[in-house]
Amino acid sequence: MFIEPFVNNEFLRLALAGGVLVALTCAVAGTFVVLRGLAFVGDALAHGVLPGIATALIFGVSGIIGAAFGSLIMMAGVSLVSRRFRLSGDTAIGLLFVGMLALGVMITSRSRTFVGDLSRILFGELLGVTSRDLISQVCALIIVIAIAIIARRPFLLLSVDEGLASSSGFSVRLFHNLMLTMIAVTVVASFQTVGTLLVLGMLIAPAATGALFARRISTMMTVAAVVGSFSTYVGLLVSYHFDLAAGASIVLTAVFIFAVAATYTEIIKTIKIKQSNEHEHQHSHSGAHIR
Amino acid sequence: MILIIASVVHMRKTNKLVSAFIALVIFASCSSASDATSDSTSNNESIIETTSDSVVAELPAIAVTYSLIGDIVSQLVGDKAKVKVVVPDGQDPHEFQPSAKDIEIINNAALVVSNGLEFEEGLEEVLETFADSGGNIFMVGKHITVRKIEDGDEHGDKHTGGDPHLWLSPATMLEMLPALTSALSEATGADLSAEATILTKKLQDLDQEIESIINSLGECNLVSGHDEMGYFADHYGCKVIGAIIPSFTTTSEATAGELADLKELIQQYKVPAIFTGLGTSPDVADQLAGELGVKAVTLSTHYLDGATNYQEFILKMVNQIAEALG
Repeated sequence: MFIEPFVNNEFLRLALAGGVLVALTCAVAGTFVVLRGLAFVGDALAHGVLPGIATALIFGVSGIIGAAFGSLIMMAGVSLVSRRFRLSGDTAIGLLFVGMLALGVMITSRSRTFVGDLSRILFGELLGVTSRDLISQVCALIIVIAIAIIARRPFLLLSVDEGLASSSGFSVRLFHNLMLTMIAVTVVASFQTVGTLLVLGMLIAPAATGALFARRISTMMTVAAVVGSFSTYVGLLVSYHFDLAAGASIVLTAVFIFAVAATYTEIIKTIKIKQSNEHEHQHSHSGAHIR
Repeated sequence: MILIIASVVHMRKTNKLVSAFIALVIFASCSSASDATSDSTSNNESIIETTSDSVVAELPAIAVTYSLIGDIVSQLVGDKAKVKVVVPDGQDPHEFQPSAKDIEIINNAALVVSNGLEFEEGLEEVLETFADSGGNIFMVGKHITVRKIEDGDEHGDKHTGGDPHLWLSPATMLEMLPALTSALSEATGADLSAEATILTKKLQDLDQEIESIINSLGECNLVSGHDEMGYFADHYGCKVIGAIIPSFTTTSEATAGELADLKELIQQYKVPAIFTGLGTSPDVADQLAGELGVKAVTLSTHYLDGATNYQEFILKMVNQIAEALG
């Protein structure tokens, strides 16, 4: 019921391995996405890679190369538009985002040689994960962890306050771009497994759950990794037993876990407030007595 | 990926590099955009035109939604009409989205020939509007015995309506041929009975040939990309074991549960090959085939794919099936 599907089916084992690797990569990158409020950039990157992937597949190159190029264009474009034209960051991101998305749709809809259709790029092929995909996912995980370790202090300061980072002698622009690169690597490596649309869910939902409980970044990442991996397992089981699309099941599970966790923390908070209110009330009461 | 890091670091240092990069970006997006445009132009050029240019203006235009029915219509009308195929050969007709020009072609046609069984999902609205405004439309599905799946399997059944893959059996094409001939005669004002007789004979011969090929196989158990082999299997005595996407359309997605069920069925029936193609993830098929130690064979079932006509297309498909199962 809970284990046999994986014992009996190699494709499910590979999907689980691929999904957990995505969850781990996303836990590291997602923590900074949540802390620094980069969800929109993440979304834009996830969609901005679309024309790159489409073009790469048309020319018979690996989709990963196309995706890497697409994200590079996206990041460079956002940086240029927001810097040169005095437009706010989210305007620049939105502009590039829709532009790239439209370009991607245009390429996929009109190419006769196109081997993978749009929905497959958007939602991924978790059930078709190969051991080759796992290797590139492991590489991405290593790169992301390496970036996070090397730049952990500036990243932490950036997440708290940009001014703090620059007064500590770190270049805000450099490390912001490095952080974007980390997110891009995550998106590029994960599109094959969960798809460009759903990678955002894996990037945000587990890390947001971590942010509910944890104060320290390392704890947040750990919680995110556990939630993400558990969501992968549950999502695959749901897909197996109820015949639902695998990628969507995983992301929905992760979002559901966040909802449950958020409700739990809210209830705890309310109870605490109530208790402290009652406490204060007693105080003032006793105070009146004394008077 | 290291490339990305490197260039991000560089970008910060020199704005010139950024500008150069953006120029490249713009150039790249322009060239890919023009690729897409030139691609669509070449698609339009490749539309089957069965007539010489000098008499184009006088000939009635027949629009056919996809290439396989398009070829049958072409064989019927010969040079008595101009046949235009809307979905370019090679694209998934299930998912095709029309351009403004495609809609114009449909709206200006003397007769539109479509599948009629919710096959061309992206054209549905255009065809409906065309029919509502008094347009002349021939739906192949209205003139055949439609294959339906009544019983849902224990897992959620994704089958709705009738099976639209009617062209995969020449016998079904023979069934609708008289009605199509009279509709075309009416639209073109030409007598097509001679062409119809020739085509009927050709399709009958084709039917015989397929039957002997399939009969030479011991067992004909089919596993396909989506549920597309129904008419073929029913007519030639094959058994459809299952499909990676158990749906009449490619717009559905494979699920873990269905794949596990399919795996069991393939083992149970000892099916030697999985046929995949358009709209099915090659990765999923390859992975499944690898796990089971069977072949994964790419089969063209929804478009001509280089075949010069319908008969050649069907024979190529049948030979591929026979080779994989034999």
